[in-house]
Amino acid sequence: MKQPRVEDDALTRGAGRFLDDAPQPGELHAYFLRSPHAHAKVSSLDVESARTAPGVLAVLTAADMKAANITSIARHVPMPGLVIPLRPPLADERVLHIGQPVAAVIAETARQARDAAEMINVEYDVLPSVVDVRQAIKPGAPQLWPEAPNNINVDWPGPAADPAANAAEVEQIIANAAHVARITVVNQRLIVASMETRGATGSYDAASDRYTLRVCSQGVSPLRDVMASVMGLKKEQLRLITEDVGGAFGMKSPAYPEYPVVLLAAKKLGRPVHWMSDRSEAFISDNQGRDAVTEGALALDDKGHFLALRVRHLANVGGFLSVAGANLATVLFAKCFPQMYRIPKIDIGVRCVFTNTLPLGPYRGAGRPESNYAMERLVEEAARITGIDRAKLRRRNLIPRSAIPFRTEVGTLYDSGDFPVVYDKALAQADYAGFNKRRRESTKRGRWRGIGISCFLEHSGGSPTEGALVAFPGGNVVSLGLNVQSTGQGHASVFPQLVAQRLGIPSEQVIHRHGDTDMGIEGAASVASRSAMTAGSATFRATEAMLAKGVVVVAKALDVAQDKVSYRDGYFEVASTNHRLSLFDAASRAKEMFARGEIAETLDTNITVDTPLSFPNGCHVAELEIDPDTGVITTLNYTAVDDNGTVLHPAILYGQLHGGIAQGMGQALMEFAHYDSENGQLVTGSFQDYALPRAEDMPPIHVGVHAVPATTNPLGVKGVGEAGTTASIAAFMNAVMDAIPGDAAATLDMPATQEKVWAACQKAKAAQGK
Amino acid sequence: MYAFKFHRPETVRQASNLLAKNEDAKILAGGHTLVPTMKLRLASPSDLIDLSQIEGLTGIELKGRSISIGAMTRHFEVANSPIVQENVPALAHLAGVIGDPAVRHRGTIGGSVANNDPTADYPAGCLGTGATIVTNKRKIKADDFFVGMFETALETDEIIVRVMFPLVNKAGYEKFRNQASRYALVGVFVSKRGSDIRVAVTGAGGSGVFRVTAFEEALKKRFSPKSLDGLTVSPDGLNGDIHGSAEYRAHLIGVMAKRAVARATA
Repeated sequence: MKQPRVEDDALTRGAGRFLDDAPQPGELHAYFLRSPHAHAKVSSLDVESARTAPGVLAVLTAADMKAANITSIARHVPMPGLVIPLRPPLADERVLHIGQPVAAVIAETARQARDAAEMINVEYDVLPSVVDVRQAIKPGAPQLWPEAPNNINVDWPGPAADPAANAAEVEQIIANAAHVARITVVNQRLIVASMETRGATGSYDAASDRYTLRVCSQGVSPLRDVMASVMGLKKEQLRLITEDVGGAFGMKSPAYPEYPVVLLAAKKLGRPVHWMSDRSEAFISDNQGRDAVTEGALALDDKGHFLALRVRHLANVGGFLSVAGANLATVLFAKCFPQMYRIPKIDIGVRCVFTNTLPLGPYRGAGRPESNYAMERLVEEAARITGIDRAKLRRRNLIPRSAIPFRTEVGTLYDSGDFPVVYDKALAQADYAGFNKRRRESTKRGRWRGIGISCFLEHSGGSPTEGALVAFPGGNVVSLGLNVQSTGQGHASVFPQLVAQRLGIPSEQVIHRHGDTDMGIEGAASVASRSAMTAGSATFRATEAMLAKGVVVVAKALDVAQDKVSYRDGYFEVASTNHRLSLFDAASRAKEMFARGEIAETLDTNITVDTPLSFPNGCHVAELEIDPDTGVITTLNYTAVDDNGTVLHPAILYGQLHGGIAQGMGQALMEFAHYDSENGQLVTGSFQDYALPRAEDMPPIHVGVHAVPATTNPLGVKGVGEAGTTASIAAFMNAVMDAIPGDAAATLDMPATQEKVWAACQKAKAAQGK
Repeated sequence: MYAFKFHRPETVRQASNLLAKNEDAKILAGGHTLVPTMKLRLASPSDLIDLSQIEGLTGIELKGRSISIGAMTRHFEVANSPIVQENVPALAHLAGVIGDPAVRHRGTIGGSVANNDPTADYPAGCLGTGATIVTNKRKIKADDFFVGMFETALETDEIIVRVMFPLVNKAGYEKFRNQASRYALVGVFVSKRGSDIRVAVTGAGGSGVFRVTAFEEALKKRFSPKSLDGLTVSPDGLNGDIHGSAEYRAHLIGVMAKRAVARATA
């Protein structure tokens, strides 16, 4: 590989520095006692014997948090009608999901803390619970919050200016259409399962009245803002530090109950307090993903042209609302429509619902996979009911290049893209035309072969604002400070390279810094496939702004006109002379001039840039074989032709796609966070019961890049982090449904486990009269 | 993990005495079930009796018409043993599909057999070949050894020292993995030794490993996959859970049995 990932050597040799690798001097250990019930009143809580257990320094409960005025960690972007119930870090009168923290024991060792926690006596009055989103809105369902009748967290009417009129118009089109494809599909709940579990270390410096939280975040600045608000602090009073992070996928971006507790405990005890989740705990304390039921109706004319789309989406936000729980299921979900297709009228309505489950959080895609999956299942169903070949049906409805920039019905503006070319390339690369021959060959061997197409388009960026700090710490190096956080993506391989290339200096002379709010860089974290486009743009602008200041400094220093100074390969040069000043000399001169008050600022440049959304898109094709005797699926081939805009680092782009496709396959074929409908227990509470894909399950993946640069950022990049997941779920499911003859799998839901597939095969055999 | 006393006896007799003396003592062989259970605080033995320092508990030997495998022999050793590969290749195959490489390098045959996990592979291998479990006290036929789920005929101070596998003429093992744990959802071991035909099933039984006599009778007539055509196992008494209903497991027993016979006769 031409461009290696510079961080891999350390990470693969175990030389990374993750949260548990950075013990703070004198640190204590926290253990959280968690609710064993899905819904219960806490009728009594006796922590006295735990307080006097060996090694224990404190036991914190809701009373301690309240006394410190820390009443709720719930924070969410505002939405009309949104119910945001208080979420106390330690349960007060009621627990609403298994795993909810009830008390925290702080002791000299982690084991002592855990031992003492077993001495805590909690009496619960168990209440009826509900875990399923469709059950929760039924009359008579247990009510979780008095402020949310029928458990409705928000009833969102969609992006239309006049939702009622729009809905009526869409209904009219559907009523009169030649064909209407209708589906109901389930996005099952998922465990995020990052390789490194969560953890946090709180400390407090009494002299400066300042807290430090070392935490596995996805970007320190936004989490610092939320945590300062939760703690009732000024931003300056809280420093967040994040070092290496072992996977996050959106799950590590928000505030969690444990964080204010370790901070408060650190202040009370005057020593750092550390907590690290173990794997069992992660299953019942990390936010979970997806969990929605989508009803869709797609109206078509007699030629198969899409006329209108109606979507009704029901999302399970859990017992409490997490940072983006409702946002991802409404705004982020809706913004993905109509993907690559031209659909003149769209009506989307979403209801978010409380249940006695872990809070819903963003998980790789955060609404986009749900949207794309619904769309591609609808298209497949449309092909089935109209009898039009699915490949032709898709091709017929693609937005042509000539229509771009394209304003969608949901209010987005596709700035760039070449969908028909991407589509044709994918089908050619997957040898779609030769599929029937391969299918016949499989049939001879007693295997059922299927091919699944998934066109996708998503919006990356999320929040537009992101910062970068280009600075000269001294010596012949420049440092690039970022708020965006690598959690495995390889930021150190990408961003310093941008600076090095622009400055014409070796990349070894550019230091990558991240994960410290004391750098003073603003931004919105590594979420929504946004780091390359937003932090990349900020890096670009900061470098340009630094050079512009350098020109002024050099002109002053060498006493020449500014327009005679230009920059090239490490030097500011004066035109038509052999005078020049190196970048690093210019930086030192600037420091001296700044000290003397001759200039307003040094060459150090901290810039915040707004970058509009970009629209990664592509077409994925999965080809697989089913053993109808067992339901076992073998994926034979996987093709992904993607437009992620300008590619900054091919190896990272491929890696992101491969990882995303693996997670999509996990959802399509095996993963399922299964709650017991009677008692709300998480049945799949370990990897013994929760199926994750293994390396051996992965097919060969053929990535073909068709890059159409984004026009909305200076680098031309689009997101890639979520593309693989967003696309692959439908590709796998459509392939499974295609493999099973007849209509036996037309309503198959995820995950397409071996037993479900086998049962569908039995049904198909019965229908064939075999 | 809770505190416990750790013992490292040097003879089986010492180990057996420790077991007899300490009611809540547990034997530590490979520890690949016990230690994770202890870490989860789901098991809290007062004493752990580590067998690793006892001589003579490891190794694979051909003894007459049997293969003798020491109780502390690791799965990878069985999988890679030329003696096993040449004489009962199905057993080498079985050992090679247990867990993952880390498990296979620590887990032991004695530990697996003594634990009698209803989804473990070795119980099928033992019952499916008609093996003999040799303890410090006696020899126990596999047919008498596996009593129920996690239950064996072992007495409290009884320790497995080796397992004797007869040299069968033909044998095959087919494992259908649980997608999550990758343990056997259904595993079927078949063998033929003269007129002794055995079909042993792991993973599916409500009380652990069991034999399918109807399949055995059919295979006695002709040891061929075709002999099993049309034969089914009743789902009654089989496990049913989120990973597979009893009906699915019953169906898979038929499919895996055929494939095991095919493998045995290939």
